[in-house]
Amino acid sequence: MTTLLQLLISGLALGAIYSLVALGFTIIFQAGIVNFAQGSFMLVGAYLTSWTTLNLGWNFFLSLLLAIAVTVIFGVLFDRFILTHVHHTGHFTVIMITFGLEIILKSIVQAMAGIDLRGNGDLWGKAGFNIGEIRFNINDLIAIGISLVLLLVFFAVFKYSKQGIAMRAVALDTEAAAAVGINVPRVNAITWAIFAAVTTISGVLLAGFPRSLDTSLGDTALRALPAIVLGGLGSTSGAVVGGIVVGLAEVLVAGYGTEINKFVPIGSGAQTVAPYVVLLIVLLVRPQGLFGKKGVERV
Amino acid sequence: MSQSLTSASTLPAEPGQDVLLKAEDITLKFKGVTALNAVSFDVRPGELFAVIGPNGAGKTSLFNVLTRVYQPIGGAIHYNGLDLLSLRTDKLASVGIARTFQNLGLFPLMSVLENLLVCRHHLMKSGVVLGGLHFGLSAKEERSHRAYCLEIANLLGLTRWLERTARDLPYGIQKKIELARALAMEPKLLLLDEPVAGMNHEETEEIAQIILTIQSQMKIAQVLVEHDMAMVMGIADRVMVLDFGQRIALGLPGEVQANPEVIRAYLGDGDY
Ligand SMILES: Nc1ncnc2c1ncn2[C@@H]1O[C@H](COP(=O)(O)OP(=O)(O)OP(=O)(O)O)[C@@H](O)[C@H]1O
Ligand SMILES: [Mg+2]
Repeated sequence: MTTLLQLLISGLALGAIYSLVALGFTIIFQAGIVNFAQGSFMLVGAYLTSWTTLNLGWNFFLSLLLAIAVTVIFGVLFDRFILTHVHHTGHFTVIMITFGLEIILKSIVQAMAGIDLRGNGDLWGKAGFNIGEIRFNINDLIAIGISLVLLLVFFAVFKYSKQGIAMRAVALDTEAAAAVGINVPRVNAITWAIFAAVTTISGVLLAGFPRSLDTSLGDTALRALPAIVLGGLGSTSGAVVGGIVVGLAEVLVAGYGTEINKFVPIGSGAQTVAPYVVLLIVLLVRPQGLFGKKGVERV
Repeated sequence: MSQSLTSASTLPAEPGQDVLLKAEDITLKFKGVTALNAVSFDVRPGELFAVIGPNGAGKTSLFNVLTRVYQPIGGAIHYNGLDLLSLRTDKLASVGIARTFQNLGLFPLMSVLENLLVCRHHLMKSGVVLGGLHFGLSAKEERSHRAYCLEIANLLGLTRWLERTARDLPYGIQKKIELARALAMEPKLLLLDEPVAGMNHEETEEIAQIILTIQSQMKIAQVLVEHDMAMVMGIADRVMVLDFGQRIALGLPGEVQANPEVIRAYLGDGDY
């Protein structure tokens, strides 16, 4: 029981971070872009924060703000000056370009930072407390808290604000959105800004205890892919639920690995496969994913 | 009908006469296809101006030129003192041009009310918060936007559907939502691309009535693209006929109906 509770807390914390990653992917996807560069945004954001804090001695929050500013500006420029020009040539071009950006940024970070593990620069590190036999890591609680706040703010803005409704309109039908007076390039810029901010925060949280920062951090973005599909591709609420499910599945399978191995010899590292197993089961029952809607595209 | 009135209606508007939209020699080409060939016409304030023509005549293309989706290779468009061709699509809302799409351009996963509210984007201050989470000035502004949308919904008989998701509603209702959405933009010029296509006789009558109400009560000029000839001839002030991108006639409904070229190109096809 204690083990289960312990795993649920870690799973929820990891799931909350995956939710942010999946949400970031989804809002860009809704704008018509399959974005394989998300991992590098996490990586750059987390390294900038870590470097300015640990190497330059900046305050952690100041560092985080700077990292957010840098990735936001970069994201907006990338959309405006590169993606906008190739968007009409089709999905494959866009995929290749975001994929290329991922490789370039990752190589730059690797070249500059090396392959050593390092801290993310946060103020709480391994701190935590016990209630009974259950350990609460501050980083887990912060991950859960921040994700919750960000998600609530995001959904409130998305549902009720002028810009949020405009974002949804552009996501549903770009041509009609322009016809009703929405400045589509500006909405896309706002979308990229939100994406970059959320992604940087998710990267920093993911590099916190019990994990650490190295240049494979961005590969997690790929682990959020089953979360996105599981939740229902293109659905923001689906992304959040999918993220939590994948986080829980990963942590539970890792925690109960020995027990599971007694029944099914899955070997070690089964936790990396677990999200896909859950994904397969969900898709067998609901091919459009948990929150997916069939036929969203324009008829 | 007096001779002078008849001839005045076929001529381009005279200088000094009130003109809202004036298109001159619009030419639009796609690879190998001339979708519009030097088409000229004008629309007067409050006028109900119909554009008819067989399939592929260039009617939707004309709308797409007017709404800055397609770039013509020649011609000029003046609208209310502005050079329309220098504006971007999303700027048209704020100068008073609204359109509907031939193949529904609704936001399918939004509620009907949201579909209407989003059209008031250009009229909203940036901080406005919708949906009840509001304070002070923003609350007042939200109420006025909401009230306007409710009024439009009421005019089109959509009140009972307001909270429903647009794509779950029957096609006829969706067509009406699109019209309501364009009206919610408070336009001066409304471009309607086949608003009764696929509707039954009763629904067609209803939309025709609404179009007449828009004209008489809201004083909005309308350009109506329509295949339903009976409807067009019954309600339009003037009619322009396109065929293979050419303007083959422009005049009062009676004149156009009697024009032999029109009969050959269009009415003779058995569409009438
Ligand atoms: N985006 C496009 N690319 C290439 N050709 C096009 C495009 N849009 C329209 N056309 C061509 O231009 C011509 C006019 O088409 P348009 O859609 O304007 O006709 P329409 O009068 O609206 O017809 P309908 O009554 O069927 O709606 C057609 O030959 C069509 O194939
Ligand atoms: Mg058409």
